[in-house]
Amino acid sequence: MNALTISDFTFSYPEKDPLFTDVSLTLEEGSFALLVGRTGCGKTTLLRAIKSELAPAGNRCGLIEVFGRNTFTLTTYESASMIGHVAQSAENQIVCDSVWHELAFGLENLGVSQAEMRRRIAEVASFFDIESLMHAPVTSLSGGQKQAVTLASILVMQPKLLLLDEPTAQLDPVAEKNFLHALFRINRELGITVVVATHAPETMRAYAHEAFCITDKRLEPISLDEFDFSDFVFDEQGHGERNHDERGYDEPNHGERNHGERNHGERKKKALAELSENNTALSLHDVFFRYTAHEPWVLRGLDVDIASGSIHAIIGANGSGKSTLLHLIAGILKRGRGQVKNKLSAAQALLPQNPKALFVCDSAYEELQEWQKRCGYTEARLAATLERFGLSAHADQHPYDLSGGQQQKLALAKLLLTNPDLLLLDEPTKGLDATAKCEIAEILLSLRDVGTTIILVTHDLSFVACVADSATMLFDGQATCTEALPDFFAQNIFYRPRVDAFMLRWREHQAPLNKGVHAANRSTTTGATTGATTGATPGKSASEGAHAANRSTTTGNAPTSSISAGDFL
Amino acid sequence: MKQLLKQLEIPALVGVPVVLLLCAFFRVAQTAVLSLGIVLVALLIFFVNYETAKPALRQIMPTVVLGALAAAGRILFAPIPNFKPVTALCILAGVVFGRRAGFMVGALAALVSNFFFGQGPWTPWQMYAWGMIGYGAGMLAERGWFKHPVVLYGYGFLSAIAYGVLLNTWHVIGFVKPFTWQGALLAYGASLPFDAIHAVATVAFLLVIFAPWRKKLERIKKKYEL
Amino acid sequence: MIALGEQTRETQTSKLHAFDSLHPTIQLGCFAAILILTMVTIHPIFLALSFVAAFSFCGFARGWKTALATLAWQAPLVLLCAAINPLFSSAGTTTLFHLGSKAVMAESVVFGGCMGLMLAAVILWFCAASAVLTSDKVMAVLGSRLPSIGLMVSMTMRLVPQFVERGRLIEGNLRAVSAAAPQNSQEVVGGRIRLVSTLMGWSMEDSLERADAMKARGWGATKTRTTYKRYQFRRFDAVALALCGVLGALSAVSAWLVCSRWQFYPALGSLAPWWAYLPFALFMFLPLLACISENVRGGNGRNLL
Repeated sequence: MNALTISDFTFSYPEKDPLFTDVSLTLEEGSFALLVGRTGCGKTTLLRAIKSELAPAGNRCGLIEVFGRNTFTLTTYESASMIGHVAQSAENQIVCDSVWHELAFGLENLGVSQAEMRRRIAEVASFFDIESLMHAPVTSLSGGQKQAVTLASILVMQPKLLLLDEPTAQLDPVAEKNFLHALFRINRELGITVVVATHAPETMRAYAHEAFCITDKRLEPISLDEFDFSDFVFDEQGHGERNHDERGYDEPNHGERNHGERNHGERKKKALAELSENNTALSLHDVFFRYTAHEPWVLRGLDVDIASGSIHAIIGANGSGKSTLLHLIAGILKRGRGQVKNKLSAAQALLPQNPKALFVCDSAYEELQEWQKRCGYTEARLAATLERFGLSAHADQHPYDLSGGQQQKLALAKLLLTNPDLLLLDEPTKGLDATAKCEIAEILLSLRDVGTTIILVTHDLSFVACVADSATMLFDGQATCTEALPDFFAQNIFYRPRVDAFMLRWREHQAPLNKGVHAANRSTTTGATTGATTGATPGKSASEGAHAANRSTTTGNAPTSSISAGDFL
Repeated sequence: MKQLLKQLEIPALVGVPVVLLLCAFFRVAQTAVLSLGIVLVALLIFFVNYETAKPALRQIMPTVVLGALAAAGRILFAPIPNFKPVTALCILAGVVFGRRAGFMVGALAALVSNFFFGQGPWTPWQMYAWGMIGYGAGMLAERGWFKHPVVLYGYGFLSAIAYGVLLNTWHVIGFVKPFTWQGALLAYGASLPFDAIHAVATVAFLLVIFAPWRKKLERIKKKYEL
Repeated sequence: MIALGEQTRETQTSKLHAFDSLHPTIQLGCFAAILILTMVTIHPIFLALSFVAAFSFCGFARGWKTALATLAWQAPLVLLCAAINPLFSSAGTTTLFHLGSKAVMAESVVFGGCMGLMLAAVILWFCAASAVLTSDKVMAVLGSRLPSIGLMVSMTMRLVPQFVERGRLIEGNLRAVSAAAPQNSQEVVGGRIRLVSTLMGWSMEDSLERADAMKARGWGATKTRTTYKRYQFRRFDAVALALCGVLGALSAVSAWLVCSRWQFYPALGSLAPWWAYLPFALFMFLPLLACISENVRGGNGRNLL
């Protein structure tokens, strides 16, 4: 029997053009399907349309059937027990204060008897191995544990179809893997049909059976191989190897960009040179820190110097103290012991992990006005900033009605209007798709080009590989190594960036500029300097369409040295 | 039964201070325990009514968020004694979401924040007092009294004072025997500075947050009704 | 740090297995009976017994430091209650001394002392009870009849620590932006109010998502919600309930008999023989004895009976 049949489904929000037209889809029972498409293409809407309680208001026609039943004739009871829905933020889905209560919540709603509730909760808790957490308050759980509890609290209702909307976007790589593994077991061991909407399909490729893509208001099946980037090999030291690139760098129309990019390469070297000359924006020595006297040290003997005018990444596992370090630099936390010298502390700005922590007004425009009096920037500059960040059309919208990427850009715009010389970013790419990441990356590069020092804390190694000048790895409370890129990753075997949609897009966008994208066969050498080039990105245009449609903004805005601060803001 | 309870809601809520005063007047020996019982009964009647009305999600969620916000505000502002946003939030909830929501926000904030601060015999009294402030604000808003901001600020000021007086009254009437006015005045006088800070804080919060928050909450209300 | 109180309490219950393994209804009933008895028996001996029992159980269960701190925190109120009586409501026959034109009577001093003791005992009993009765136990007893209210309390309990953490985050973020950081105390207060505004907007927005998650999990699917009962009432609980009930009734009767022969005014009454206080004393120390005897035996709570 088919688990899900969508036939000729059309949907439009009130007084808007249709989001998609005549969409059809058939999923067999036990399938694991991915739903991809760029932000705003309607992935979320389609998933929600399948579950009638969540279906958005609007004009719809066509039929959606789950196990042969029209979803719109399902009662709440039937819908809740047949179809499970998991959203992006575990934090916002958890209802109750303790894990056992959270697991029981859905069953209580369905009026399940006492004995049956006990049995189902026991079963699921054992399956997920969360028995030891049963009595814990949910506030004490990690992000990964929270999402696992969310998934478990839906599985107790024994759904036959599971819909997940960006379930791993807020998770770090390790938690993401664990979650996907749990999902895989649910699908393969229990035979539950799974549909995942995602903008990071490459990590889920190995678990899925099939994939569908929404492009141009249509839903098309696409091959899972489109998400397989493992046969791409990037030349990490591409600066010196332009001759590998088929398109050639001497074409006149690329000349200017070429110049800018060469400048980029030189800057990296310069940044390091400056470091050695001790021209540092920030220096931390012998830093020890713990939150309370009863807790173990988070940082113990950390030394790091960061050159001014560079993009410096701080990476490391969960709980290695990355955010703590950032908060120490920002002066939010008072240092425990040691020396934190921040020459730029008088003109710094911190972008929090969740941009919502910065919003207080009722529209994007007012948001940018909040600090206008204090900082004295003009209306014209404000309008130019909106324009530059592609937010002009959204100026009157409530900040919370913007997409995740737009919120991130708005927060960044708000901070940049204060003219910071030091920009501290906490996980700036969390939950963003490749397009939004490219936009953020470009903003960061142009800021660096006007002399802003940028420190970013992140799990996103591919972002680091593309954007950062130097990086520090935290381990065991210390800075294990601080090196310039690409040397930083060149020596790593386990801990290195994986090619993902963002890296592809970014390299492709940069390719005419400088860095070659060298696609090689899996079998060929993967050495950083000897990557044989068997045809660069044009061959991958199909996948390009799959996970990131045309981008409107960037090509003309590649970082060039000709952009001055005045032009930029 | 349900109808009866509904009819009883307002008498029970109003009855609490009346019983307290009657106990004082007749010099009842067990005032402390008796009045505590009465306030618990009043709370119970309200809660049962709230429960039987089958509140919808769009009623529950904002109430819970505002209640948690008030409780968290009490914790975040703990370093400044008696400078707390709870009273202002109860008033706001009563005005925007109705008297029952106002009462629930006050009661939830008191009950839950005391799980962090420490429960005591004062918990039911705080639940009742903050609940009544929200309930009253809702009733007055229904009658259009708060069209003049001065009335609103006045209500905020007086209700914060009344809150302090009610909590003291239980101590005075329950634990001072025989009851004398001098004793009562001493007790009230001792807590007057704290009540004054509370009243000023409430007005300050209302001045700053009432108008913008009302706008924000109306937007949320609209979003919930979609 | 206040926000973490709930969690740390959870771990402290390890010492309290004997009591902790009982059904929460009995725990709640036992503490309620103790509280009511304490507040009803206005008699120096009974109140002293209750106070000592409360202080020792509080000290045993939550640490002596906590017990002393709780007492110190409430000391002004207790002292005020103790002082107002002799100063303003003086009555009796035995004059101790004169304070200005007022005579301070011994009976009033005793009465004031009793009232202060009662208040202190009640506060300490609450403090002690919170070591055993965590919020989810209280809601398991009180909330099962009122499922919506119970759920709302649970949801609020879940949100408060999150909001406190977010509040600190928002405040820190504002300080981290040099151009926007508060410069003087007025701006610090402004920053705090901005904090609450940001927190409200953020949390309300999140609550929309949470409402969806609730709908997706069948909120309102049936007319009668069931409630998951984490605690089951077992035979051991019935025995414990019977024991508590008998002891409670005995102490109530003895307390009533003793109190009816006791008076403060005009002159203090005479004390009853020592055995008249025995049932009351036993009842007050019951929670502590149960825990200590178990710790001595090193077995589980069920060895007690």
